[in-house]
Amino acid sequence: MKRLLLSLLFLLPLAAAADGGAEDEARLTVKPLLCIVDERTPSCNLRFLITWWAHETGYYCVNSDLDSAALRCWDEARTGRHEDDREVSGSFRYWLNRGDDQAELASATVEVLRKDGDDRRRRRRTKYVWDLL
Amino acid sequence: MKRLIPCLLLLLPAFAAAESPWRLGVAMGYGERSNPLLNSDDLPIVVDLDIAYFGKHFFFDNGDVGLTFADNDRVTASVMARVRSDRVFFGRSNTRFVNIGSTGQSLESPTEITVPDRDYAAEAGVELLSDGRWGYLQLNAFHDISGTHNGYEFDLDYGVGFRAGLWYLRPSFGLSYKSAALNDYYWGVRPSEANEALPAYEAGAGVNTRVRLSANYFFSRNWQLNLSAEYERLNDEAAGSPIVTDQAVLGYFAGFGYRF
Repeated sequence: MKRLLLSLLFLLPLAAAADGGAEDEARLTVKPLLCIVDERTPSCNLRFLITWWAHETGYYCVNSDLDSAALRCWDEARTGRHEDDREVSGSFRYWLNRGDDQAELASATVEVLRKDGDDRRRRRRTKYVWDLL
Repeated sequence: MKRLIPCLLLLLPAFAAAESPWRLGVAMGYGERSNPLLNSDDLPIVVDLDIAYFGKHFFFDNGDVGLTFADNDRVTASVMARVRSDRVFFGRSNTRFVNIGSTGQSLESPTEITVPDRDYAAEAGVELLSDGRWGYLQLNAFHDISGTHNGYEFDLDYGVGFRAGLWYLRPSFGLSYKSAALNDYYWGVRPSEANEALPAYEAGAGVNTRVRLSANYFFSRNWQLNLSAEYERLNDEAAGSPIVTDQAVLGYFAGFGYRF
């Protein structure tokens, strides 16, 4: 039983990596990718570092779900780097495209993890001797 | 149980969906809870499974079963059933032979000291939950329904969460009033269990106090570092028992957790 659990735990990151490797025309990385909120602190003020890389030199733009216009575009470039200061209270994506061409070449999702959902029961404590978390 | 867990793991993609009523997680690391009983081993904790289901009314939370009958902006109220796990302490005790009696007198021959056996108890009760910017509050009242100890317990927990970057800290403290019947069943020594080295003892009602600090560092939505430490002070009636050597019960755990 312990072996099964360990095997599954070790396989999960590999599965995630394999999924992310499908996008090879261009790559986009964003740091950080997680924001934790609760009722006391309902949003995160973060500076996102966005870096991208493409196979071919060209015209590329970085966009986000939260903006109607591109955040920044580069001409005759294969790589780029951009910092984006933002207050975040919900999950959203950054993505890379070729300007007018809306096809996404690569994307990254910033996730917001709520520590206090609507259901109070999810935060209740059990009182078992072995419960230390 | 051994069959249930692999089945649940195979169904993970379904559970991963947003708003899933399921909460599944596993943490692996190392921790211990000290055993306050005489001649007893501490409890090692290497795996902590989190298996919970929260429906509109019915819920299951790692062994607790509940039926929610009120849920509004201020409070969530449920009727509950659970198993009291104090018996775990009694399953890790050893027998020892001594030459000195309970009052310091020399004994003619080595006399056995064995912590008496105790059972798990099924309990039913009610639970009230409330929360806000001020933190969260959990109130429980449980009574034995299995005829094991025939006692009851009132329990209060208050905690508050603090975010610091990708850390989430949650200090909490709690009080538990334990009735005389409950206290005496677990911590008392019946005349039939007593001998020259282990005197009979009757425990009255008392209040346990505890504080806990848990800290989680989130590497991602799923992966986290779990750190936790807890101090519980047994009530004087329990601590005065001849089978109890430590009034403090200490617990800690450090490990990595995966939330599905």
